Amino acid sequence: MSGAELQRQAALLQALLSGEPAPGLCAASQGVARGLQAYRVNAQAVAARALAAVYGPLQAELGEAQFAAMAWAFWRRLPPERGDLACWGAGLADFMAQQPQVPAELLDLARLQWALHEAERAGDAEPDLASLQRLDGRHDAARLRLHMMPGLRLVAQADGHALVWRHAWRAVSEALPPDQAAFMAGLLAGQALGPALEATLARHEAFDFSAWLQRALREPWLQAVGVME
Amino acid sequence: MRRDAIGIGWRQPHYAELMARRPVLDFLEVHAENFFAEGGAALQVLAGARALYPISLHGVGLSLGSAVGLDVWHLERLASLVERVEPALVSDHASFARAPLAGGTPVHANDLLPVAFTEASLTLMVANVQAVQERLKRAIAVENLSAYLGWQAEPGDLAEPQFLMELCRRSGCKLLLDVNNLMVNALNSESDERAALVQAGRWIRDIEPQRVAEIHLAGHKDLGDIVIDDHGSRVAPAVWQLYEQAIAHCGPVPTLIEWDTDIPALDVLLDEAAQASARMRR
Repeated sequence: MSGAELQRQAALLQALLSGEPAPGLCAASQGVARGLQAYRVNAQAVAARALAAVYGPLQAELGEAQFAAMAWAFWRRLPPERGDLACWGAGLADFMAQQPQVPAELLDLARLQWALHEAERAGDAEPDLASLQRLDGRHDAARLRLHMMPGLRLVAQADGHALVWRHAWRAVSEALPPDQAAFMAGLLAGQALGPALEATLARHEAFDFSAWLQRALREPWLQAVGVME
Repeated sequence: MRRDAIGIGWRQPHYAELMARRPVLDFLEVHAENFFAEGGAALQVLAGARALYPISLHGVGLSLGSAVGLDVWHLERLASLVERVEPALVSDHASFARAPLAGGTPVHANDLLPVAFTEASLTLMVANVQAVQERLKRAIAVENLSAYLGWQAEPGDLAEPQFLMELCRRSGCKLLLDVNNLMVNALNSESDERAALVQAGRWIRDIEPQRVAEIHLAGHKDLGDIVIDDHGSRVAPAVWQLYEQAIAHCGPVPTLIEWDTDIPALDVLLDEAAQASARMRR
């Protein structure tokens, strides 16, 4: 690694964020300040475009100008670490929460949009139908593990939880009733079927596992049933 | 791929139409990073196109010139995509984007930032290109930049064409010659278009024809005080002239029409591709 080159490159990245030219830069007829501005204008456009691709409904709520300003502020606070911009933006809801007077519903929307984005990029999987036979009642539920489809997430919202999953190629979401949310939270935390079910029923007597299972197979939420060692 | 192959950059607004119409094209080029997801619809769309056309994977994020080195995650995602797509070409840019801020974790500017044309810079870019080629088990092509900033040259530094030729010699990579980038740089440093054409033509004559694996053509925008490489319009007449000079110097080279902003009807891209084909065969 060349220390001089590293220093030079870090200085240019810092200049892009701050707008203050780095030493050693030169430009043709337009000058260093104009050249730097061209890169900064591009970075601002890239920031807004990248976040709008994920947070379209949030952009619609805020308006293009306010959204773009927020995207640039977020870029400067938490710049991308990957060369794939689809990986950037996970922390937007937390960033927004640090700003004054951001309504809770916008934070909910941001968290939901990121989960939807991740679900659409998650790995492809088919339900393992053969493994579902382990739910025939002959296996010890304390040792059965229900594996959810890639990308399925339970997202905390101000008034409860929303489930996000991929239906065909599109990610969808739905507010879950408290009993289903409690059960899904247990499964997603790695609990076996038996303990997850017991914990849910202890707080929600009316929880209907059979109805949940039918839905879990239809959507699909459930990918496979495994046996824990 | 045939040396006289003509392709277009395939972007989301044309995904469905191109698959439905299946126009005669020799290859499609996509931005590799748009297909880095683990799964999902985009990869299915690309698989469909791969069944019909050779694919060129053009990266914008490898950051081959970064002094901090390559992002292993990025390289692994690219390797996975290369394995899946079996592309005709793989390319990226002679630029950097990753560097640590205040000595911390490297951040990625997601832009094509200029490297200095120093021996140290060349050495590290050679190492990075070789690491990519070893992982992918194939040679890649590296594209010359349009740059609005540069680094003050010092004694011993190389001119850009020499830097790139030396990169090709030492690493075994090829050159992706972006003719529009040359013209943008020349227009930003010369007082008029005629002088810019002379400067850019000299640049082309300084490269070794056998090193060129692909040519890119695109539009640019003149803002008055600066010319921007925005890929948002038809290829400018001066760029077509420069393209003919490049073909005269290199012979037929696979050529791509890029269009990334204000994307027009597919027929406009196909018309530009037809023009490139006609000019290559003159």
